[in-house]
Amino acid sequence: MKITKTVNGSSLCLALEGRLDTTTAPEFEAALKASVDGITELTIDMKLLDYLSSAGLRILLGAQKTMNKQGSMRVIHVNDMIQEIFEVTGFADILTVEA
Amino acid sequence: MIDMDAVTGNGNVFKENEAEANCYAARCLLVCAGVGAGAWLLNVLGIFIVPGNIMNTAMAMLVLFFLIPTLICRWVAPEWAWVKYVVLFCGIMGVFVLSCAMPKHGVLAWTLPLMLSCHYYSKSLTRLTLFASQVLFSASIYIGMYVGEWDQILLDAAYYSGPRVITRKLLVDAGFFFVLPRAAILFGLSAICTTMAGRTRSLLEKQERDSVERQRITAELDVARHIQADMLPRIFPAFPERAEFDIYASMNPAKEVGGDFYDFFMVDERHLAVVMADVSGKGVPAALFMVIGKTLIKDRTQPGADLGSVFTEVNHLLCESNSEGLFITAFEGVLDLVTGQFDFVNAGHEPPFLAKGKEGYAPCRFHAGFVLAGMEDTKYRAGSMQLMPGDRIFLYTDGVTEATNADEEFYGTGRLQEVLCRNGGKSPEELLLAVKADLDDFVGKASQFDDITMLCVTYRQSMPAGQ
Repeated sequence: MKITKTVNGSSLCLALEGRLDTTTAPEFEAALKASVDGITELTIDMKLLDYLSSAGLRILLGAQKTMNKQGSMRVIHVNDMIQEIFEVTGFADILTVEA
Repeated sequence: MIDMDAVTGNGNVFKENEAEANCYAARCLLVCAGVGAGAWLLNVLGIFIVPGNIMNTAMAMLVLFFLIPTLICRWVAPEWAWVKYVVLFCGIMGVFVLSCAMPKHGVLAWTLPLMLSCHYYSKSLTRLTLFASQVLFSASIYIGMYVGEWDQILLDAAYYSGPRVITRKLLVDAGFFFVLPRAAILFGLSAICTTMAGRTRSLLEKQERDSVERQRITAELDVARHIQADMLPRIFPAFPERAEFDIYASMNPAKEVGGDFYDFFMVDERHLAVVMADVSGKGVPAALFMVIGKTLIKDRTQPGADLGSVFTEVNHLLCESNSEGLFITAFEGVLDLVTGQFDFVNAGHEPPFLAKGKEGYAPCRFHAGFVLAGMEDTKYRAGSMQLMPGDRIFLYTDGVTEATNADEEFYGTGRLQEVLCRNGGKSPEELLLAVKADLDDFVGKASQFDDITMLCVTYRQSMPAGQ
């Protein structure tokens, strides 16, 4: 998986590329942990994300919980397959998802 | 349990190595015997000009000494403890004979036994070899002066006066100017062999310790997997005395312990509960969380309890003990065997497939609540629907639909629905086997990445009320 970070003041954008699953989730978790301090606007760009497993959902949930305390989080460029995962798992209700 | 010999590392790996080292050393000496024989032949042909009597005696002895280890390894046994001494002794004796016969060239071979000893990864054996080499090869210089090929460089121009005269002064000078420097060089070179032996030995020891540790972890994971598998009801037919329904479930765990689980149990005489769930992530954390989740769900599913409240409460309890941020997607349904009413609650799990009467399987479009253990104050609402005798429900986890073949394609709900419909008339057990077979077919040689868990229940006939 490839993660591209873009920081602009207190807003951070993480663009994900490839598969976010058990193998790559720790990488994403570490990237988040390292850069989320002092961030008030977190954007996760899923334009190039092919696959999202429950291990990835876990990290998203953790990020959402962190951002609930210090600002806001958006998930953008979500494709149909991932949107369906969000809906089936009820994540659509707790995440701010934009197509 | 665990083999204590292996844990303490009693040197099995070195015993094994010793036998191998004997064979390798024997092979090296066989090559040297070949070289010796070649030189011998060249001398017989007159291309080399060593006096015939010296060459014929020395090379015969050398070839013999160098052949003995191969004979032992082939015909006796390479694994006996004394073999290594014989191998090294033969190596030293062969070089000793060479050095006596041809002091000026033989000196190059002095390091041969030391290098051979490196095969054994034993500093003490290498040191012993050094000691024996020093003694015998130093002696060979003197012996060579009397019986070997005459080495002109032993004599400075000052001493050389035509015929071979060995004076007392020559013997003393040979000691100072030949034996001593050569012994010193051999000693210096031996440091390479000793350190290499020691280093390889410690690497091997570390490798052995690591592999013991790995074995221990693998063994423990195996136990964990068994415990986990034993937690799921696995005896079928599960309720042979019940004519009202037929149920079958299976879980094929991926390599390690995983987080999938199913459950089914009688809440009371007329209510059957079925559960299908998947813990996020894999491995030991997921498995432990699964144990908590499964226990809580079963414990809270009491007669008459509203399933929405069950999940709300389970969620609350799971959130309390969830420092790792894991979560569970879960579906639970309770079937009233008398009325056919099927209550259910869904916490972010794949919706089940339902087959009504003679119709094929179709996914239920239930509203899904948020996953369990995700957010503390999530409220869950139960749904309800009416089942008729002959209706069937198929539950599964995403390990089924997200099974991947070598081309990285997903199995997908489409294929699943197709195979379900094709086998719609079969019993739950036959249906699950058919799906598994189709799945195996699809996946082919790709490795199974996630647990594959399925459950099917058929509502066969309603239970007479008032029993």
